[in-house]
Order: sequence, then C-alpha cells, then structure tokens
Amino acid sequence: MSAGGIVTTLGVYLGALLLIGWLANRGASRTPDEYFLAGRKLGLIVLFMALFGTNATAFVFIGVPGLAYHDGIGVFSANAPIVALCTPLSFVLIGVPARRMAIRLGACTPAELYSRRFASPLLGVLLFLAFTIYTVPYMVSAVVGASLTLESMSGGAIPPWAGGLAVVGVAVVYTSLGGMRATAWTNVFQGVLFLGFLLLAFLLISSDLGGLGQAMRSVLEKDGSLLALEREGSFAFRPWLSWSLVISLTVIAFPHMFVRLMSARDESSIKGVCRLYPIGLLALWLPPVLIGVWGASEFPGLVGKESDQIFLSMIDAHLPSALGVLGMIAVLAAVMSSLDAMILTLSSMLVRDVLDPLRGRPEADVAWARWFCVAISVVVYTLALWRPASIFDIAKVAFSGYVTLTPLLFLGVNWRRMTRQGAIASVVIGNLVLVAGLAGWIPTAGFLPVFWALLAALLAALAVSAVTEPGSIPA
Amino acid sequence: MMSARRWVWVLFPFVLLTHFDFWRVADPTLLGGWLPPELGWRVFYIAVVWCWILALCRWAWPGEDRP
Repeated sequence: MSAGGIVTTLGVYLGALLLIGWLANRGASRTPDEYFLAGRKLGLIVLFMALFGTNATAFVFIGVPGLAYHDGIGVFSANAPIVALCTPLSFVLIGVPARRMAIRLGACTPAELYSRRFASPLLGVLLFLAFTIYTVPYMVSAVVGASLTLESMSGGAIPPWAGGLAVVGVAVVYTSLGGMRATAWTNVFQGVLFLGFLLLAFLLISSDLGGLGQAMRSVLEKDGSLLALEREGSFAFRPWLSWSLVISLTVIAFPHMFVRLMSARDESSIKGVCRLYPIGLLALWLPPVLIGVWGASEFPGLVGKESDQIFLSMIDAHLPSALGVLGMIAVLAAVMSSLDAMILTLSSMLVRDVLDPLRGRPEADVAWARWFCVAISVVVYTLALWRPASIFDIAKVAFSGYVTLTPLLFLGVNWRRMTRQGAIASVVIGNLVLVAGLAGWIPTAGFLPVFWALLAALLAALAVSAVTEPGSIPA
Repeated sequence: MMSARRWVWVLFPFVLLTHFDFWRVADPTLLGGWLPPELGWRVFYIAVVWCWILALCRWAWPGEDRP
C-alpha cells in the first residue's frame, strides 16, 4: 500500500478513537467518580475488554514472537497457563475485596484506597511514587515501540517523532475528554481490532504455509527443539518458579488494571471476566508464539533483538499488503489501549493522592486531572524522543517492581490485623531488596531477584504488623 | 455431587502439578502429525485451569450475585 494509503488508514483509525471518546463524554456528569471510574458502572463486556485491552500491549506483537523465535513453544508454556490461572484468581482474592472497600471508603485510586484503609497519607505517597516509577518507563517503552513499528511498516513515511506524536496526542485527547468511560469504550474497539487481527493473521499464515501440520513439520525438520521444552536456562526450576511469580502476580498490581476492577458495575461482571480471561489469554498468546516459531523456520539466522521484527516479516511474507496495514493498526490498538489507561490512572493519582492531600480538600478534581493527563503525555512523549537508557532499564524491571507491592495489595484488603507500619515496611523493604538483588549486592541462589523481594515484602508485612498495634478500619 | 468448594481444593494440586511438571521429558515429535506434545499439554492445562476458575467462581459467588 502507498504511503498516502497508510496515512489515510491511520487517520481513519485515530479519527474513530476520537469519535468514540467524544461519544463517551456526551452526557456524562463531571464528578470524580464518573470521570475516574465511569461511575463504577462498567458491565461485563466493557469491563472485560477494558481489562484485556489494558493488559495486552505491543509486546504481544513484537516481544512474544521475537522470544518464541529463539526459545520456541516454551514461551507459551512459561506464560499463558500460569497467567490464565493467577490473573482471575487475583481478581477474586484482591480485586473483589478491594472494590468493596473502595466503595465503602469512597476511594478512586489504588493508592487512595490503601492510604484511607490505613489512615496513612505517607503510604499513599509511597504507593503513588512506586506506581509512577514503574509505570512511566513502561509508557515510554510502549510509545517508542509503537513509533518504531509505524516507521518500519510505513517504509519510513511516518518518522518516529510523528508516529509517537499521533499515538500520544490522540490518546490524551480522548482520555482527558472522557476519562475512564472513554478509555473503556475505546478499549472495546481496540481489543476487537487487535484480537481479531491476531486470529486472522494466524489463520492466513498457517494456511499459506500449507496448513497447521505442514507448518509444524517444517519447524520439526529444521529445529525440533523449538517445539519442545528443554528444562534448562530460563526454563530450569528456579528461574521458572521466579518467573511464574512475576508474570502471575504483576497483572493485579498494575495500577491501571486495579483501578478498572474498582470501576466494575457489580461482582457479577467481575465473575464473568474471570470466566472469560483464560479463553482470552489462549487467543492472545497462541498465535504470536506459533507465528514466531514458524518464522524461525522461514527466516533463520536472526540474532538477538533482530527477531522482534519476525511478526512483521511474517505478515509481509504471507498477508496481502492491505491486511499488513491492518496489522500496523492492530499494533497501535494494543499500545494505545494500555497507554490511555496508564495516562488516566497516573493523572487520577496525581490529583487524589498528591494534590488533594496538599490542598486539604478535593476541588475541581476533574479539571485538574485533565491538565495532568496533558502534562503526563508531554513528559512521556519527550522521554520517548530523548530515549535515555535508564528509562529502558527501569521498564525491564517494572514487572518485578509491581510484584513487590502484591503482599500489601492482598493483605491490606483481606487481613484486618495488618497495620500501617506493616504496610509501609512491606513496600519499602520489598523494593530495597529488589534493588539490592538487581544490583548484585545480595546473592540470589539462582532465583530471579523478584523472588527474594516478594518474600521480603511478605515477611515485612507479617512481622511488622505482628509487633505493632492495628488501627481501626475506617467505616 | 461434589460442591464447588471441594472441586476447587481437589483440582488445585493438580493445577500446580501441571505447571511444575519437571518430570516430563522434552518430546520433539508431532501428535497426529500436527500437534507438538508440549503445546497439547499446555492447552490441556489451560482447559483444567478454566474448569478450576469456573469452580472458584461458583464457590466465591454462590446463589444470587452480589450487587
């Protein structure tokens, strides 16, 4: 497709998002509850797509096939089943009691919830800092990935600065206009787009390779190890256990996922989401892994990060060019459906967890949140252009960082005996141990540093709570 | 008939065992000429997980749904 055609298709997609955002904003009230949590009225389908769209990032199209190219089907084995098990479980064990408590305490953000639960503004600030430190680099990586993909798929017609500007610019317009409702509605559209494209690409590529059997036999002939799981390296016991903890616990600790559960209309909607999640994850993980594995047989010899282009190479080789453009839109949909949620969540935390406590009263929260959406987007876009190496170093460990917060997230809403000192100790010690492990200051005995950080955060929460006096939980 | 709660407890060790399946050996063949055994095992695992989640939901929300 010509550069003009690509730009037009991109324009139509971005225009559709703006239209959906505008429609979501019409007639909505301007209360913080409405803006930050869609009035706590997200029903099953919108809630599922909002969670699923937020959960899926460009990593599905770029990172997963690239990893499968080198490590084979083991990438599916190490991730999809344990996430299918633990994500719905964490929704039940943490999301449901957190939603109940958030309604009771009138909290709009995860940090606000735990800050009110423990009557500790300090805990709110700590959580805000932790969430921000791990989320901003994650956002920057997403924008960089999207802009490079746009440049690559448009044959250089869309330079990274323009691609990044389009992605961040459109996301911030509909997010700041319509808040949670706009991001949830656009996530439905984006989720259908990227999931539909993944399945379509899977069917068309396997058919073009001569069918599923032929595609698998080609891989078997060239490198049979890609179709099996060798228990060595990252698939040996200790890394396997550590990674299982990271990938299964991190999802509930994403503030942008947590806050969506707080937006559920009722528990029936969360129950429906839990039932759908394993099926959705199967559809999300299986196609990119197999396409990456098939790509290893068709385009052998890619080294390191070169394999991140394998999904796009397979699309180029097996799909008509018009569908290739749809692939570009699908990548953007996956990026933007997470980016908008992160922009909104960070802006809501800035208002509710930083600004309101400083002012001593909530006032014009929605107007402030809109400005913060813009400010956050400007920071993310600037960092995406600048690309400081440290940002990507933090993004690599962001999942581990989120995991250190899960003992607090779980115990804080399920254990009445937990104290504010225990909560603060859990966050501080968990993150200190993580930093020490990543820096190589402490031995990790073959486990990933996050394993020890999680253990430290849990023990700190239990031990410090045991020796300090619990306060009453606010009514 | 087993209650949802009992299903959850009965299936849970099985689910964990399926994840930490270090007794299995790598088998680079194709079942039926198209399905790698590793992939078949993991899809079966997700099916078991799905059944477990259904039981968990039934246990967590017995009877009427909470508002």
